[in-house]
Amino acid sequence: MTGLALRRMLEAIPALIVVSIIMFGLLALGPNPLELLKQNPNITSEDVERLTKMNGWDKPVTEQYVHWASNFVKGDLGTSTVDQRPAWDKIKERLPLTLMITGMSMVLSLSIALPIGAYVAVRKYSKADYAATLTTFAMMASPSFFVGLLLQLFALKLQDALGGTLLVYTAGAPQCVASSSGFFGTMFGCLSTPFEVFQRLALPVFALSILQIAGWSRYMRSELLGVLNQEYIRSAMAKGLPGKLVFMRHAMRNALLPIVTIVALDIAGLFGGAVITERVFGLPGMGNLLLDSLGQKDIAVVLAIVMIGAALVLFMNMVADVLYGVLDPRVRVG
Amino acid sequence: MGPGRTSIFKRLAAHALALIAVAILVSGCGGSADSAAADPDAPKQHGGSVTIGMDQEPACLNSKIQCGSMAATSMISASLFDGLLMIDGDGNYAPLIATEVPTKENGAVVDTPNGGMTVKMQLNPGARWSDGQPITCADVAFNWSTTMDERWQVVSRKGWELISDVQCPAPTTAVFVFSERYAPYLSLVGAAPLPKHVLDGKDFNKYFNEAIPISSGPFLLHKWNRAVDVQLKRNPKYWNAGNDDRPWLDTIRYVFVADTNTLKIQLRTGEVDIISPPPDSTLKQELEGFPRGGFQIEPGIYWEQIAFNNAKAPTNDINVRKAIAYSIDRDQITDVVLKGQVERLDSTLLPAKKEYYIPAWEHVTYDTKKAEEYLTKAGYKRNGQYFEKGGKPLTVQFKSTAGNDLRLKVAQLLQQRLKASGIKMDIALEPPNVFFGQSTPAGNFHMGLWAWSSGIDPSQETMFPCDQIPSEANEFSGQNNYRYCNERVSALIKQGNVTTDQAERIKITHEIQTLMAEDMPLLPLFQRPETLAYTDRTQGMESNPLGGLVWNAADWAVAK
Repeated sequence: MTGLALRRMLEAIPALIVVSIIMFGLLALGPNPLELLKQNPNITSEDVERLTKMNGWDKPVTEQYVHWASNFVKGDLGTSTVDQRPAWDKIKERLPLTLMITGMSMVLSLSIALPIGAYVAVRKYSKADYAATLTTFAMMASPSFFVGLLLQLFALKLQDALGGTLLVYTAGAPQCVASSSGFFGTMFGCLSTPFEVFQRLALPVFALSILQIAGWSRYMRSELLGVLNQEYIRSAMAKGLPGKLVFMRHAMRNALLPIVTIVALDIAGLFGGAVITERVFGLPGMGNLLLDSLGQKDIAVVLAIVMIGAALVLFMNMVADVLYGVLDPRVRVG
Repeated sequence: MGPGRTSIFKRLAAHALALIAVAILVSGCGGSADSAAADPDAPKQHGGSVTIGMDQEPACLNSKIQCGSMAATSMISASLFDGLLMIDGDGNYAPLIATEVPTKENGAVVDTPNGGMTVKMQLNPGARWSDGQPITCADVAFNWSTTMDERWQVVSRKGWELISDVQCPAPTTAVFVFSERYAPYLSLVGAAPLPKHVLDGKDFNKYFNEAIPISSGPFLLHKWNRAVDVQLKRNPKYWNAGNDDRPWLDTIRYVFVADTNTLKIQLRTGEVDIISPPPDSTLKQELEGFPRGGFQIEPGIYWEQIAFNNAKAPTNDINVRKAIAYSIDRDQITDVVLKGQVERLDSTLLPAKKEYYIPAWEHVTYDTKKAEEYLTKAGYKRNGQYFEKGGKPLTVQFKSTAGNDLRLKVAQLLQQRLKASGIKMDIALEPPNVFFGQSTPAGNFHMGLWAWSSGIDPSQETMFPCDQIPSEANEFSGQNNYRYCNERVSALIKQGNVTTDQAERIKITHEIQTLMAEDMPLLPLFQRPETLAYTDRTQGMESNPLGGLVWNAADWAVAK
């Protein structure tokens, strides 16, 4: 098992190097965002040139890359050219909120999608199955920004119906994420104000969950259908085992195997945040940070997010492989 | 399936119901947006808070350096730093920390024999920083020396490099010594002083970025909860509190939501009190349908224009430029795209510039006959749908920024109108940083649609003189992307820029406008409307595009 993990980690290094070269090249060779300042006639080309030099963007791209890469290898993610703060500091303050919304949405989605998928699988072609199929397809077809807008309008109508009382906010982060007490401090801080967190994050979490619920419940349905038709399920029923036991121990456990891979990869995606949902709901998470940094050619921050994200995907891929072995003895590598 | 299945689902359903019940129970404690409507004439009361919804969070709080170059930073720092001068509700300079606006007439501006000039400013002796220290000439001089210090990432030094010294004959007297005459001097000498006693010896690239411990304005920075909000609190020692003990409000809170639709919904729910959404066709209608608030729409400081490339065929031909100009129905654009929120603009200066402004482009109206005449003059002949020369149809490339709905609509209208006049127009929309960073400085367009921001001074020295054409020789500096060159206009712009006599400068500015309207390097379209929308619990809201959103924040109040 250790050998497999080690081999996978070594294999990941060339992938990470290629990712970094492509991203760096795209950003460094792209247009200079400072040119936008020139819409103001009071900001002259000399001003823009002077600031470009101060940012180090006038140096050859290869020189800029080598400088960045040598620092990165030493664990220095670089400094933001926008506000001169370490890239890691910026990521650190955005991460708790992102993990909160993506994590909550994952838990919510799993707890809804898996039962629904299982329920309709055992009632194949029933009215419930057709209804669920129709609903999940509609959910899959709805773009996040549209769902977001509908939910905000719902909150507005709800406020009118409640005589002016605002039950859930339409945008903005809970105050607790602004705490400067570090990652865990922030998380615990938010635990102490659960109601505000609910008010602020209910809509975005729900919006984010809709797509996941739709996707995962379909996976669950098809996997379980496949398993329920297997001989060993019939054998287990035939030898008189209780249905609950057959369902939970034999059917569900086998049907969950492919879901583990999908969820493991989605967990790696949690880090990157949900760009559109964060945008629509005004949430200062990783997605918004990435989008803003791209627009400002903030190479250090973009590269830090992309590299950590890429490393996480590769790592979670490895974890999925290992978990597979745990869940399914046949896959265990000797 | 087995019998256990049903009970699992029942249990799940029970859990879900319990969760919903809890949610409904706690809903009773939700925030209330039920606001008391403010009677605009009701007497104001001290206290309370307003929330301003902005589309971006500042990268830092220092509005003078690169990270503070976004509008969000300027807006926040405007409540923290009073200038020597301010821009009043009528769009004129008015004294704030200074006791009067310096002009030649009142003797405060004196031309010196060496070709330079001096500007003398008297400071209000009662002006104080929030820590009680007096605001003196030393702070005024410190602002100048900081701006010119090579170590700091100061965004704009335009004009400042002409100041050779700031002398302080007395603590409340500042004398700016200019090495050359500089007509837009008010935009420099009116700037906000910097607190020398706080900043001296500090790293200006960093010190004011996270927190600003001092203020000369009506509010103090309370705290910046990164990514959530910026909170300002009342400056209890505001030097300009007046008889009303201003400011009225206890706090101003800025929140950041990038999505305009979300901001509008937040205004409706009362989560924010004030927004200034970007213009679009349906904005006015939407705001009219908003029951618990008000709004003001005024022509703003950004003006949209059709820029012609005066150096690239076919728009290098003045007759082609004029034919295009007469093919464009500018009134239709303001009517259709902006639903009449603003009128067409007939100058490269805004009407708010009063004496300097003349409607020089007024005669350029939609006239297909005239367009046809100019095309014939240029040697084109109509062949079917389009005019042709040498067997090729007259085709122009139109470029603008992608992602701007307003500009897309304008482009579509232009395309239709030009087609009707026999001119083929290809539309290319580019990401803003490509458009401004590559296409316009390189002259890679025939017609461009973009906006300039306009300050209170009529100077346009970086935009139209011949030596401001970006080229390899000047390393693509200069903002004359039109590649427009009229030696007389260039000379007049230079002359106007060193003419400190206002009457003389007005005459020069009028002549520049008239000559340019004749050369047609561009066609002004309209000023982008600026919208101030607010909930009805706020009092004292007054739109002032030149002065900025918070120009009168000291006079804001909320109904209790």
